[in-house]
Amino acid sequence: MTRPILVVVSLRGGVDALNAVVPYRDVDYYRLRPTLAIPPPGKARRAAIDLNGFYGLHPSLAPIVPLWERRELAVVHAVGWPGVSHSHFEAWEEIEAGAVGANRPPSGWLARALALSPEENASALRAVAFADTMPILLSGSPGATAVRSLDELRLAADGPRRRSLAASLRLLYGHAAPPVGAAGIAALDAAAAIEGRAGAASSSSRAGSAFARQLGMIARLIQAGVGLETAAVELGGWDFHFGAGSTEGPMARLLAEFAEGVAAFANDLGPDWNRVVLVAISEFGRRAQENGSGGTDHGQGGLIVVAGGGVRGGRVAGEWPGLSAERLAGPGDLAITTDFRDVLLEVLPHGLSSAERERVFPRYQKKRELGLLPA
Amino acid sequence: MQDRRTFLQRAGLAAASAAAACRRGPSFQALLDRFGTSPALDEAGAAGSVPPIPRSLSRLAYGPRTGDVERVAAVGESAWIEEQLSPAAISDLAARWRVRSIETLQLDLPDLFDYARPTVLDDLRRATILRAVYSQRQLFERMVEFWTDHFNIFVGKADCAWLKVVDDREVIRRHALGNFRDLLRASATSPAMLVYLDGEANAAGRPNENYAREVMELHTLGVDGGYTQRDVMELARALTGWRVRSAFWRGRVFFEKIRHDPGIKQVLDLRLDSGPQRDLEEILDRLCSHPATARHLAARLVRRFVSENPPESLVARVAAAFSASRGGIRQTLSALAHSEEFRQSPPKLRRPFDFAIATLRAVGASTDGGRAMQDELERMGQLPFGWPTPDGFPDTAAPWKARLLSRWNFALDLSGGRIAGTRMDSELGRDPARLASALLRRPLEAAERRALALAGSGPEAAAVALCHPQLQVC
Repeated sequence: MTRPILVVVSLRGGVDALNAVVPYRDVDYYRLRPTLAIPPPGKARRAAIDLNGFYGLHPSLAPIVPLWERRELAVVHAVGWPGVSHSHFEAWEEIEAGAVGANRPPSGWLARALALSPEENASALRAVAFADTMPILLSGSPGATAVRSLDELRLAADGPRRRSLAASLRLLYGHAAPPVGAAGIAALDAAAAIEGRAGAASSSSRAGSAFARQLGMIARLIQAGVGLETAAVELGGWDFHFGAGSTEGPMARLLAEFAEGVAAFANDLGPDWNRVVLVAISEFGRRAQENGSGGTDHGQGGLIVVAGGGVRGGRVAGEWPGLSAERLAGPGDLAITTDFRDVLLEVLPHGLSSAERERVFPRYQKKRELGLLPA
Repeated sequence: MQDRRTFLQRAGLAAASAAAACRRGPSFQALLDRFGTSPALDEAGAAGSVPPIPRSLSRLAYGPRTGDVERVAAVGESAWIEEQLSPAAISDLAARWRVRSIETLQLDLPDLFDYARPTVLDDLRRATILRAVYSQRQLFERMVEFWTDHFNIFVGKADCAWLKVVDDREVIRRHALGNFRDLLRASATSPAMLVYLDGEANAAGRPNENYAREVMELHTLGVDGGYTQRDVMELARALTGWRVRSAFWRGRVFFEKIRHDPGIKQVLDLRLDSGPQRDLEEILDRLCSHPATARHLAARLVRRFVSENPPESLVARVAAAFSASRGGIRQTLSALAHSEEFRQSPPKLRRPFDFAIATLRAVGASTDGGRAMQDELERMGQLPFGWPTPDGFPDTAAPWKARLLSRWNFALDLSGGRIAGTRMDSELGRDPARLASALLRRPLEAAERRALALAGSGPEAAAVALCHPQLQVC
């Protein structure tokens, strides 16, 4: 089997997992969320969409229901790691480094996973991050490129002038000291890789959010066959301490943006969807009890969504820890039953040696089998 | 206290540098002329007749404008730093004249709300660009940028676009080189901060932890500063009651007693039971005097101005200066800027804003700081006030170095005259090798000369000179 193309979606700000994938059969949920709770399926015009008799999707996630029904989308609930920080920034550093606590490697787990690639992929577009700045996730990967749009991979000059400019810059950066020299050459390689592939480089024709457009660009890179192995994309704004809303409101709109983007991505890819594994992750879940300002504060247990044509989906994996007072962790957070690295280890290529796994997720032993991809 | 002798020295220095500023400095063309033909160039560089750019100009200022290097060489780097640390004594007509007509900058709340959001944002960003390019108080503007990151406000949230105008003026700019305790106090009750980190939603019985956490994690103690989740929750309770008016006096801050939690709170080693106003002052005193805060701020300053791997010895000395001066920003910065570690520090990747401003200054370009220039900054990933999360734009190289193409495209737009309101001399593209030499202040190596020859001449060739790898660092 060829390696799947890994697309990592960073949901920055701490997604409220309890209102995204709602444990509507847990009575404590409604006690803890007097104004924010999503009604159980069938109890309101806008209510949770039943998944399996226990969990339901937020109604704004309706666009991904077909993926669930085709068993191409799985959810892992109550995910995190022991001692997860309530700090956004420390939590992201740990997730993206793929290691927790002190002495974390400076590079990202995805960058290190890329370095395990058995066959040499010389493509300058093997790893692309759609972001204002390069996330830690792909830091340390020499060939990774960060852009907001594929148009940015083009030097702003016409035809022949562009080629002489590129040649001139290549000579200048070829003689420069690292890290700037190497970064310059990587940028020129990326521009060269996209040059002439009009389909891949054209700006998205799709309407919709920046997130949907960026997923659309990833789809075009995959279809253009430029050697893309992994891509990172972000959807931020989940830090709703205030006025999150319930079935409607700011969080509902953000969930819709996520679901519409992912559904359109699967659709755009057509048969290539079978080669893709999309992993959407957030730094932590939020406090089980809503706060006084119609929002929630930072918590622990969160969720990961895994989707793709080859994913064993249609289920919520992991163990539900419960929301009763004695089951909550720390200041009243959903407890953690699955380590995030257990999920990420399953989307790495099969057949890695234990030494190779150790390089990607140092000092970690897998605890739980989730069976997210066929063995 | 300042004794008479120091005063006289300062006065003498101010006079000397004022005189230097008044003398017509060498024009950029003159600098170009000095790098005549190639053999002469080698000799000039080898003989050291062209002083290199001092670290203080590249890091504590947004790079040199024509004549700045010579001026610093004349007064000495230490004296220049001292002069910059007292910005009020530096005449700044060029920048003041340019921002004077920007009406919204002077307005207070709620009058600002009479202006549309795009106008208010455009004005604030325009002023930020103009001051960075034209102000003589360069270190002051650098510190404004530093604190803008440290106390980041994202203008995309709620009313923050309007509120940030006041935050910029009354919090950041007012205290940028003042005292950290005053700065923190101003920020804690700034309407922009109260809205951005939900302090205004924090009420008795319904605490909101957002600000309480970030003020300790980001603004003062640092994530390893020794506070606990319990401290966050208790601090949130102590800070209840501060609100921002939404109707008639929209944007004005007030304290609403019935929303304040009057119970006793325990934050760090403080027992808070003296009433809301006193509690706030006590908390801020404790946070500012905490050794973790001194260390956290020292490390952040050193990371910004010296190295992303802060030398421990320097962090300790800068932290000691912070503590000894009870949060004196001038004294703290002075310890950093006069250090050997600062002078010897390795090259640091410029962030996009720094790169763009330094480029405009280096080639003597003119700019109105308008929408087209702002669009360029946005494409490079650093539109001012556009960072969504409270940690501010990153200070390390890794997040930025994969975005070089967008910088090159800025250089191409600039040299090609495609940035409305921003202009550089089109003649500079005639001999890109000389331009590069003048910008680098050294003769070119053979490979560099070959590279520039490949680009030919004209606007695109000038852009190649501006894109030189060495100009990406400072």
